[in-house]
Amino acid sequence: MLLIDHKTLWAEALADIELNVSKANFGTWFKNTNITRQELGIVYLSVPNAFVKEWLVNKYHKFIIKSLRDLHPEIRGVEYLISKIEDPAKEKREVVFEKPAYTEQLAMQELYINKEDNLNPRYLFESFIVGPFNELAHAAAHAVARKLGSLYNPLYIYGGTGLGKTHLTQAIGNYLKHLGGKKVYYVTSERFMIDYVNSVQNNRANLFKEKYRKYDVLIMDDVQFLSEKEKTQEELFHLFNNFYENNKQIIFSSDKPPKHISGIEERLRSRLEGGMIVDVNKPDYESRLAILQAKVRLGNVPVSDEILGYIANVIQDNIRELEGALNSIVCQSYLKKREPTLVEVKQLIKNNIKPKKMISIKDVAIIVAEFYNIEEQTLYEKTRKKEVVKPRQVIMYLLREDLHTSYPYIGQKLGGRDHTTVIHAYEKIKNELKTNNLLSREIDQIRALLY
Amino acid sequence: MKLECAKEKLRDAIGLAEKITGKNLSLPILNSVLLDASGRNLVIRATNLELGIEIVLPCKVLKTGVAAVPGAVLFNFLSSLAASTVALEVTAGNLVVSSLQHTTIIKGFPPADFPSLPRVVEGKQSFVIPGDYFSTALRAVAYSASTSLVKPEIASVCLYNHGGELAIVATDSFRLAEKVFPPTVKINLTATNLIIPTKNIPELIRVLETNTNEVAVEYNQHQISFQAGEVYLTSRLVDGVYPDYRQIIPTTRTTEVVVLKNDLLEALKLLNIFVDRFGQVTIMVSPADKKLEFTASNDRGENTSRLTATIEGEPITLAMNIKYLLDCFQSINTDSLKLKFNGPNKPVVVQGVGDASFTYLIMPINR
Repeated sequence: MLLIDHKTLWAEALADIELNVSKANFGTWFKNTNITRQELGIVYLSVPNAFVKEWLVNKYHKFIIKSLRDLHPEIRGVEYLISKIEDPAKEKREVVFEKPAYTEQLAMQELYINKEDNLNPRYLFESFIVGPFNELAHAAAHAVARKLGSLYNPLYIYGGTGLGKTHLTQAIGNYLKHLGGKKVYYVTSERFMIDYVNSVQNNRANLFKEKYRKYDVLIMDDVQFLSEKEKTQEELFHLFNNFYENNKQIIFSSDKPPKHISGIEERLRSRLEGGMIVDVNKPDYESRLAILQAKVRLGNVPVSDEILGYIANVIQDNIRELEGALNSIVCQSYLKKREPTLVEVKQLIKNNIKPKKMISIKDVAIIVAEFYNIEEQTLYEKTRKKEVVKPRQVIMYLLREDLHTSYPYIGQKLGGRDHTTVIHAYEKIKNELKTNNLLSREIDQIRALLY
Repeated sequence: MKLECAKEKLRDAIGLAEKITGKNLSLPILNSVLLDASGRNLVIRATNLELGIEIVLPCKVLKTGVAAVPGAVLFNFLSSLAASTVALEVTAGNLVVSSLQHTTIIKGFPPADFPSLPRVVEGKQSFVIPGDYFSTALRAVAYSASTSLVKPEIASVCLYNHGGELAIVATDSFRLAEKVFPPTVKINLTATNLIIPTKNIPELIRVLETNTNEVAVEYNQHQISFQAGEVYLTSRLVDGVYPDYRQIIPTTRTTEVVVLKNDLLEALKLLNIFVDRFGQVTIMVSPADKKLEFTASNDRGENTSRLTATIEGEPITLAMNIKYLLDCFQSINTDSLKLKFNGPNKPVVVQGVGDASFTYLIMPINR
């Protein structure tokens, strides 16, 4: 039999049936029915529930088959299947309903975390916003999801809190679970440790090993907490070897690179470093704005671009805080039943913004001197020793770049130097930063100490 | 059709069936109950296309036949009728009800249009469950189910199988109620969960309560049916997976409070007058002076209630919706109850002291 378009066929058949059945009956029994497939002359009709099925079979089967046969004599029979039909009207209702979700009542969101693998189904690649700050990590995660176990094993993602590490690692897990049918397990390092301790206490160390080794992909979040936990590290080390030998994928996340985690044994550290290490940086302004816009679209809430721009501008370090600020605005607008103004927003997220610490030129000098291990006093002297010149230039750079101090004032404060000297130092460091990795890391560390 | 039967029995049966007739449906015949007399029985049938009921009533059948009449009309009439026996007869498509003093004609519908009830056939599984346990358990949790149909799997009550241990659960994602069957009740259920739409639950309870004996249950993927004595009830099942709710029930606690149920209930009733539109009541647990303090305020005034309680663990303050807390009192039959806290913004567990079969979980209000 030629495959006829299901929709047209059923529409034509219904037109015929409608003539033979009263309007009320037609509306009750034939609403939400559809042809789902046709095979070997059998038409499979989907119906909304068993009541309708029963009645169609008992009462209207003859009508249906006659109407279909009149249209296409090849049709030999009709089978009825019960299936959910997406009611377009219902979908509309859904959107309306979602809005009150901003009441203060907390919901059990954990309800939807799968216990088998601890993966939260909300974390998907599709919902991950890629920007310059995380594109490398995203690309690596994608590559790992595509070529499991062989490409980058382990994958080590690090970056500050609230920048999307968990989202990314879980997205890999969800992707593999749904498309690859792999056994994925997500565990935080703390949970892993507790598991291990429990297994030792109950004399069930073997079960512990078995439990973890049966998975295809292991995702461990926040490995930095394994620091100083020697036995757990050892267990992870063995587990790692097992995974690695069997070409199974391991994914780690942490807030710092393996080198900087203290209290990790060397052999484990070298293994953590053995695959691919990628970092997630702080998002730039455009990315922050894109993230906010995506959230607004998802939540279907009206917040103007001006306000989003303001939030993106003042909250810089952390995507989670970004979301938090947006949520409080959304909640506020829900309560007031109108869009908040910029002034209200400023008032509202005042508390979300980290107050800028006041830093004096003196502070910078002290910290930089301490960092490079020289006497602070030497900075102000007329010495041109190499070990003093570099710190001095770094100070000048930081004062100009971060504190926007004027060139002459910087020169005056650092031992009465000419402003051209300061300009030179600033330009020099700025240029060198582009090529010198070591220097840029030093400056990052100094900044961490300062702010 | 012609038959005679005891009025009381007929009235009760029609009453049960009439509740299930379709209201506000485009098909008027669904408002009616079908009366089908054959052999020694009158079979009464009604459906609203979500639920279907069939009641077999033994009576004296003089002539077989069928009739379909509006259920509400027949029930109202029988409720007001004083006679002890009635005779039913069909003439010209209408039902004639006659007793010693009265003769009544109720206009009928063509019975051929009345739909037949689906039976569970394909992939049928079955088990037996004690009716009284089942109805109590349903009652204990049903109020917690979600009323919105957006997520059909939680707009329902679920019979959950934890590897042999059976529990009935309902949640609207803000609170959750679970009633576990005692281990003495052995039920041979193979499915992991059977999800029954909430709006069918009151009728199910009503039917189960008429029969405290064993109820035979049959189900497949889409349909479930209950045979309780002479009553057969069939309902749609929600085709889906119920969330694995056990993982969110905390097994630990940082603070545990034991308080007399009546004291708490009395306090909550007072507080209920002064809660804001979120129903917000603040609970302060101070282990040091063994006090449990509740406060609520709105534009009409405010109330603070202090209860003496046995408290273990850390002090904690959190707010929750008073309605959620009040709801669970109907399910707790012990003299005192236990509140287990796990920190702010974490679910609070409520249980009766000495009765672990009922567990109630409330999410606090974020402050």
